[in-house]
Amino acid sequence: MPISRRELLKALAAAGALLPTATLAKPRGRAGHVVIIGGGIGGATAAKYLRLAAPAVRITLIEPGNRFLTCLRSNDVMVGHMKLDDITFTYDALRSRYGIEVIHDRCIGFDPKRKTVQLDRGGKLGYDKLIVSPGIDMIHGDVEGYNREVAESVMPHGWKAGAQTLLLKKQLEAVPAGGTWLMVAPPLPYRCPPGPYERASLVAEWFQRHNPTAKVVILDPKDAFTKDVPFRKAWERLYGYNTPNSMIEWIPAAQGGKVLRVDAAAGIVHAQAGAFRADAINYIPPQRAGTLAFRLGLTNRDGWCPVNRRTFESEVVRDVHVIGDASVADAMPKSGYSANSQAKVAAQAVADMLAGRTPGEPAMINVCYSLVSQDYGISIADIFKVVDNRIIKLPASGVSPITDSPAQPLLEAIYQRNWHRTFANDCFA
Amino acid sequence: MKKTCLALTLATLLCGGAAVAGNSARTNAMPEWDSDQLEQILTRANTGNPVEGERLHHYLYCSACHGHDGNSPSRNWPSLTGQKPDYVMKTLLDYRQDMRRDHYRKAEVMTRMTRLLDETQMADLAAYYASRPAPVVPPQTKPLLAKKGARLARDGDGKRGIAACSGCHGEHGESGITPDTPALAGQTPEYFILAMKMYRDGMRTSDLGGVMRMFAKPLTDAEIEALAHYYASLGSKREAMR
Ligand SMILES: Cc1cc2nc3c(=O)[nH]c(=O)nc-3n(C[C@H](O)[C@H](O)[C@H](O)COP(=O)(O)OP(=O)(O)OC[C@H]3O[C@@H](n4cnc5c(N)ncnc54)[C@H](O)[C@@H]3O)c2cc1C
Ligand code: HEC
Ligand code: HEC
Repeated sequence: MPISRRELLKALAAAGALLPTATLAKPRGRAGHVVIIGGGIGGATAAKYLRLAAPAVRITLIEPGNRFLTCLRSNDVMVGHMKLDDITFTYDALRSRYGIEVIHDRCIGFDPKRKTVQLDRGGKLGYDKLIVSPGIDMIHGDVEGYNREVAESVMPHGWKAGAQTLLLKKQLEAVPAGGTWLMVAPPLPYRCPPGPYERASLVAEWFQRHNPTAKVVILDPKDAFTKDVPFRKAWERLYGYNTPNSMIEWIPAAQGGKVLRVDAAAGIVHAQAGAFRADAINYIPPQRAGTLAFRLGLTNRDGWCPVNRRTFESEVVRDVHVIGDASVADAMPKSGYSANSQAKVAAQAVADMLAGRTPGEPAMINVCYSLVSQDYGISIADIFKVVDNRIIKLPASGVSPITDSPAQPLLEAIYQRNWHRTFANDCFA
Repeated sequence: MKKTCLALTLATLLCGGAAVAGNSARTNAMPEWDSDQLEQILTRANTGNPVEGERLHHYLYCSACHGHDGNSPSRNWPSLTGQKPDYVMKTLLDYRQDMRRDHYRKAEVMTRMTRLLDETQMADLAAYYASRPAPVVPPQTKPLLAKKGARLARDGDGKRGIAACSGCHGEHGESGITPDTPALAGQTPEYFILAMKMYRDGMRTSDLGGVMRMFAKPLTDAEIEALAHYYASLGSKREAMR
């Protein structure tokens, strides 16, 4: 398809190169070829926003799944307020609207000298710039009795959406009257810092309706968590927290919350505080960058990927950018919002670098929304900038105020539901 | 409430059996008022305390959407000032009973908000909005369209069974023959258009006896838009009110 004069001018302006036969829909790639690995929140956003910043660049997205399930609001699926369909998104718009080649395959390695990536089924693919957003993987095996098999059967984590979410749902529904649902919370850093506490809250709400004498126990290796002040206030208001009848018991490190070993067959978790028998156990293990990051040699000793904070280019391998949960982003929490924000920064940086421009100063945002019940939302919003290659939080940040107006948390809850769709569209549509 | 029944009777007189047709099959599942029930509950509408209403308006964040004093600053939300207490009280009850729906789920926020309110608070809020002057003309009002809408609003269209809007909503859209007929003067046009289309589609079932569903049915999109701008243009001219 020949390009129109106007489209050509647009492409030229953006790419700074002459491209007589390029089209906007399927650029031929003289302006460069960018391969993006991982079609989750970070990767999908990067693909879309790179197209907006660089109309003439060829963009290929590698992702094994042909649909993506967001972890965002997967806690709602677990308690039956939403369906898997509501959190499922396709790559159709990235293909048709943004001219991105989407290859459903797995990347299994690369050659940073020749600049090629190796696909599992599809052979090799050359790139000028690589953007990697592989998410996280779990660390099994640092606690006796806990391993991958246990995680896939009796103690699911539900920290990747899909089968694990449904397993959690089934186990929740099977808790007998007056039984116990136990969560093992992870140590920092991990994906979605408020996620465990949102989930525990929604489980308590579910119990209120379906199993009013059941209880939620959280064993935590930490002594504090994000938004813990508004969370605990909400637990007091909704679930009797700090009373003898509390539906939620939170056992921090200082009270022996750290787990020592598990007995999967008996359904017992041994923590410093003693042995806890439960009818359903949600074990959220420690985390590290997705396995792919290790394969590509992008990680540091702690298991995360160090990057230049202004461009998200790897500090280990040139022309490779790492975004999302896998990257080291200092004060920015590992969230979908952060991954989306970082993807936009990396996309702009890659477009600039390909066009011979110097990338600008990024400003990034994160907002973490959590539901404590269907009618009670809390949030934290932060703005970040980069100083001396460190991402720092600007003082103007905001946690939901604690007011006595019942309308305030309700409006936050309504807002969050609407936000999920808007946000997913920003990434995928 | 006698006046409520009057609206019903009037509608039936104007258009014969059509009022029944307004409750078409696909709206059957929707909840609807029974006029005795409504009459009972609206006896409290005029007992509200506007000072308490003003406090609630801020305390419950109504002001966040409907404006500092109920005069909406945004095209997304309706203005509430200048409404009679009966209409506001009724409409809050409508939301609480899930009678107001739309294709865009805009009403959902109100449905959930009103579950926080008891009837005393509803009456207080209603008294507050009634105590404020009618909304100012929204800035997006289009004078040319407004002119087009004027005739239909004042004369109706007998051939198509459309009664004059002003007959019920007042000569100047200031609310009319019954206290639960809303004022339309100065209303946000976007909201007005949505409301009319939701009546036309049978989504909004809060109108007793299907009155508005019946009048909205024959109207075209263009007519609805013209009517919206006409009523918007009747808003108060006092800029200082904002
Ligand atoms: C319960 C829960 C609730 C959450 N709620 C929120 C929320 O409300 N708001 C929020 O902002 N964040 C939330 N999050 C966090 C959010 O889901 C993650 O931070 C976000 O998904 C990170 O994006 P990412 O691109 O780094 O990783 P992901 O979105 O996980 O994407 C990684 C992608 O890489 C692909 N991949 C992996 N290996 C390969 C390979 N070898 N080859 C090709 N592709 C590969 C995977 O298939 C996957 O699609 C929540 C998380 C959880 C667990
Ligand atoms: C998040 C925004 C938001 C908040 C907060 C909010 N409203 Fe609304 N309100 C709306 C929207 C949107 C509509 C129109 C919905 C529709 O189309 O039915 C509406 C409609 C109304 C109406 C009907 C108007 C009419 O002409 O029929 C009333 C009355 C009302 N609101 C009162 C309140 C009160 C009282 C509060 C506080 C308790 C409140 N609203 C809080 C958004 C809001
Ligand atoms: C028979 C009396 C009657 C006539 C005639 C009439 N209306 Fe209404 N209208 C009502 C009543 C009563 C309501 C309130 C219904 C409800 O509670 O949903 C209403 C509601 C409305 C609303 C919704 C207002 C809001 O704030 O949500 C609009 C808009 C409206 N009418 C426009 C019109 C227009 C335009 C016409 C002329 C084409 C018209 N009406 C003719 C009685 C009438």
